[in-house]
Amino acid sequence: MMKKNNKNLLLNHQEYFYTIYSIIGALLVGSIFIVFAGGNPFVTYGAMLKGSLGSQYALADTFNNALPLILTGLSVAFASKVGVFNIGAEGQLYVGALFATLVGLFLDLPPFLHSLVAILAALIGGAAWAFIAAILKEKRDVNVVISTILLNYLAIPLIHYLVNGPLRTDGLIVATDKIKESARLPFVIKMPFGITTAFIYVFIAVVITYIVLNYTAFGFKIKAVGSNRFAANYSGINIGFLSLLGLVLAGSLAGLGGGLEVISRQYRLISGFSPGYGYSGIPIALLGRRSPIGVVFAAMFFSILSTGAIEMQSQGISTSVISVIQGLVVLFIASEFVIRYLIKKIAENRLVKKEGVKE
Amino acid sequence: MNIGVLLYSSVLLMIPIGFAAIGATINEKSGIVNIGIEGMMLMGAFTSVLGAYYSNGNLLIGIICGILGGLILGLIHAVITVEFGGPQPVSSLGITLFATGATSFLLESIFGQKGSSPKVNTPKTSEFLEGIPLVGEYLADISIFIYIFIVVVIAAHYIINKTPIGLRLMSVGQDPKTAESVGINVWRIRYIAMMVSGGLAGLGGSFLTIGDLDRFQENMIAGRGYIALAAMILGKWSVKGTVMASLLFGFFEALKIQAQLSDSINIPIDLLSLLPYVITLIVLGLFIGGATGPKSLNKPFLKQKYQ
Repeated sequence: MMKKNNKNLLLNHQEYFYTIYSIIGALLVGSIFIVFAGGNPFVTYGAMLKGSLGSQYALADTFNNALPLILTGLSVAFASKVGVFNIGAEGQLYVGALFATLVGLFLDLPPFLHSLVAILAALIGGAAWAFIAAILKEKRDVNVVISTILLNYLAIPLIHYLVNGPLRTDGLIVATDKIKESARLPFVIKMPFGITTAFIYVFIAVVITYIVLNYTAFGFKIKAVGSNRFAANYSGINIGFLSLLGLVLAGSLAGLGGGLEVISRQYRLISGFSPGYGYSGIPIALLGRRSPIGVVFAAMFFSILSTGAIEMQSQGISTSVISVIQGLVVLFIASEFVIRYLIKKIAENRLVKKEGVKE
Repeated sequence: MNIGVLLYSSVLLMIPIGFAAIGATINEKSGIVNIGIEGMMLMGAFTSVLGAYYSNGNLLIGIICGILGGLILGLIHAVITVEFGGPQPVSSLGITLFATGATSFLLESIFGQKGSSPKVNTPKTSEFLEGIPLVGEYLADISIFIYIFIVVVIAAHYIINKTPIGLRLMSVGQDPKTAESVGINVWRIRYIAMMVSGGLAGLGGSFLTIGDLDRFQENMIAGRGYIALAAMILGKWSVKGTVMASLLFGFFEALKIQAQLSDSINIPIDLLSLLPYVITLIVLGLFIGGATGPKSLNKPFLKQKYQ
């Protein structure tokens, strides 16, 4: 028993090691780009940290930007536990935002209840959008990677159409009217920086996902399906239904991310409001090793990168170096096997040397 | 609406999707998933402008640089997935993320301007065809990329269906173990397939910059790489089918642009631009499903020494 625990701990250490290696690798290669652009990596990364963590405002910004990232990361991570690659978090986020906006605009409810209904609507919106991909997979075996990509490209222009046409309000920005006060989430700290109760809902989502995955029979089945479909099928788990449900639940998490953006920060649906929260969810889920807690840290890291990017610009470095680093993080995670191989090789060489000395 | 213009622009708009979709077909036939087509196209679009810019508008150098830009990303994807058995969707997605950032970044640090590159001068017509009697002047008006595309389509169709190379390509994607046991070098074929695929995606990208527009714009691929993947699936992994599906997408794109230009059609552009995606989903759901891909797609096949 004790031994087994030790082994698990070791495995965890290894996982951390690969995560840190991915981040350091990406930052190192990223600094080649910075040098190429005539910058100093230390100064640039320093500016990034200052811009994201250096003041109360920066901290609040980083914190708020991390919230949708946590949810989309959680969405991708959860789906991947069922063995489904959800590239559709961006589309689900948009539909969740749309649903929350509609509730916020057209329903009349008492304050707290109104925001709860908006959140529920966001969950349903994201779930419904993911359901299309889930049902296509289940009934017609349509590749989820393709269908969720197509659904992204469907959701964004669709919502642009609605926001630019039927729902558009007067003004320069392509956006809807502001949602009713009663649907907005209250501030926890309003001045000098805005923190709303949105983080509580995100916290609840993380905790529920964590508990579901680790402490329920449902979570166990999900992981069984994700790790070995055939074994799961053999042991009587309905894998079709579970992967369907897994994708739909993942969609609801992303939808929540969109809904919270509307009811806690923007108060209306702006066309193109997401700077790619959904797409960032994929590297975040990977970097967080698909665990809910890991996702929170990975989302914070990504938020530090993107929030600090503006300060980097003052150093003459283009903000797009952030996307470079994010892409590199994913590439390094994908090439983890190289490092595993090298470590094994080094260990073997040492062993050979040791034994050679003995002989 | 002018039907002739609509058809010609359908063909033009098919070109970038078609190049990339044929590339995607080749890499999937070898058993490697590549959702990084979008990034490879973007990189190709950028490097071809770079090549054309520094060669004072030399079209050939632009095209070669475009191919190289995509090919290098294909090679990186191959090293990660073919050599070391890394997860294929993840690696190729990383390629797209990286290319999106890298092209914007390089655009700003090389040309010193945001959003789009300076204009590059490239001859749009195929001038050398003008010498042909009677039809020469018409042929010369057609973009040179259309001729390249025709050559690529015929070559890909012929090589995949009529030569031993095509057979090997397919066997590597279906059952690499058996392929290896009969002496086929699985990894070499997968490497080559990935580089060809990246090169073709890059070529598709270079059509957009130096063949159609005369500059690079940030994120100018705008989902065409993913559309190419859809075209590959709609075309059931055959060159012929893939080209037909690409033409279909080209037609929708052309229809959208024509509708934008003419006053007679009253459908909002945003709704029109949904059309190809809706139709793809419906066609996939109703007619095609998903059971036709190569059997060993997305399954790493590692060399003995790494196991």
